[in-house]
Amino acid sequence: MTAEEKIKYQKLPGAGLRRDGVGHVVGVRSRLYQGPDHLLSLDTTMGFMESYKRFYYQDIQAFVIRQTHGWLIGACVFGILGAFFAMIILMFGSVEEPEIHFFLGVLAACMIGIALWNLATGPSCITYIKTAAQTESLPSLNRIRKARKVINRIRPLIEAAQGTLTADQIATAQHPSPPPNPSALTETHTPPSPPRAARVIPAGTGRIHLLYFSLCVVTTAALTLKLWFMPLWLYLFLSLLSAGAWGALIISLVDQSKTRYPAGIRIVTWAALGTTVMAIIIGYAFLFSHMRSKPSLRSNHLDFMQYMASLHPFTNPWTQMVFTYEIITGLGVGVTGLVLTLRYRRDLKMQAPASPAPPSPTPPPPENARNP
Amino acid sequence: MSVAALLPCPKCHRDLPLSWINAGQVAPCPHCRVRIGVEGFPSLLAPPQVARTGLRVMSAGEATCYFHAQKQAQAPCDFCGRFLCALCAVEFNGQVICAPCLESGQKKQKIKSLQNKRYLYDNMALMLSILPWALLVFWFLTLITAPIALFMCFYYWNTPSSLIPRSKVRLIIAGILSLIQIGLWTWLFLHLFLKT
Repeated sequence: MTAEEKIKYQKLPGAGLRRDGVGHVVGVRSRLYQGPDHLLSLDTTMGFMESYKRFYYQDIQAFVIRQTHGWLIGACVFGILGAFFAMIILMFGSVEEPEIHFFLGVLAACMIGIALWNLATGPSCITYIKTAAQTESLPSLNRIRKARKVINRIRPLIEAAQGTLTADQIATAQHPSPPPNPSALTETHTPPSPPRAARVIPAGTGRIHLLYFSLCVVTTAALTLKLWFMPLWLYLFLSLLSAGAWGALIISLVDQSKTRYPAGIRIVTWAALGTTVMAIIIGYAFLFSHMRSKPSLRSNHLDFMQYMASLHPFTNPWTQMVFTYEIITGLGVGVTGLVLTLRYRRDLKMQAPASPAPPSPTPPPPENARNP
Repeated sequence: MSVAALLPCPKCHRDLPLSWINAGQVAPCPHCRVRIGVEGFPSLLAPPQVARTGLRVMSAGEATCYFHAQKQAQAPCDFCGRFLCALCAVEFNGQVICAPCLESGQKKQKIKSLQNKRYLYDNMALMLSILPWALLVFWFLTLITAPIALFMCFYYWNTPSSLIPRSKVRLIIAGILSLIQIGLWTWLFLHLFLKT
């Protein structure tokens, strides 16, 4: 094979995370590069592997931009969380733990900063590139403003390869001139063909969601036992339940990305991820502050666990806040998710007998063939 | 073929009106109400290309395709020299290639414009030399990771990295860090050995 000359690529604005295929499990960062005769989509998996897709300018048919609500949801969620942490600082101003205040202050500032950035960058979107053979998403173009900027930058290259699409051409394609054959005129009066059937995505069973939400409720119920007694085994049992719930949550998210679920279940599952991550952040802040104030606990893990197990939820405002947060989010997510999932599974069962039975691959032989 | 079928909505997969092309704004899909904007180019409205088929051999002495004995040869493969009919000749980067050469070029990563995957060994080496330190409690793993990182620095020095221009600074840093770690381990072992 001949040695090909090195292609010079120019980086295009934007970077995003791919959320399909392996991107559900590991981080896949996606970027776009402008080449001399093609657009290069570069996906980096965990920083170790790059995969490439080339879209030649002569093959690009269209860019389709689909606006999403991610920017508004992100701004609301981060804004509320920022306000929540700011409120905690104001409410528990007398707590003698300045490091917690500092940590919460930084957290609140970050959350509010993200919310403002979400609003400032404008509406979010998913951009697709369409060729004759494929339609691929371009995660790096995740804002409408950015997508238009990039498209306008590469438009001259595409038009140099293909020519310009004029309004007349579009109008002609939309209203094609009737053929000279008079018999064909009748075709123009026939009703339009029905739209193509939508892509069929299999419905999810909801089993793993059921397990996860049940675990949420059980964990919350076990957590309330801490109000009355606090043995070490309960602490270990709660840790075990939390680990199980984490695993179930990850599998649920993977499952709902591949199968069809009602929007309610999807949103509650994502909200569960958000609340769990937040609980972990708060838990770590709590852990580090206690480890700093009690250095003797650092050396012995068993002592530390016994100390954690012996902490009553109402020992101080900080433990009270962590406890209240865990109970409210655990119950909120668990019960809501459980109700939605049970309802969904009930509907699924009711629909199942109504659907036609799949045709058998080989029809049974005629009666006379069976009994010659 | 319906012209409107050229432009399906990315959510509901039903047809979008062609008048939306290059309208410069997003508008709700008539079927699913998702807001869509379309930037189109002439190939969207171009008729589909018809696949070429090779011509049949008419006379006995005619050169035939290597893969189809009944078809006339149109061109030789630029890499292996086999005669190819119109069906087998693939035009690629201004050259004519047969399917086996194209496949082997893709598998052996010899045709650059067909490469669709590359490993970033410099990142791997850098990660191996930094991560055990960054995780603090796993510092002892450097006993294993530092030699591996150093080996990767030397072994993959000439291996092509990303398609995007990339310097060797990561490999150099990884090499220096792993050498420091190996040096520290050596010093530790020598210190313990001499002490005992």
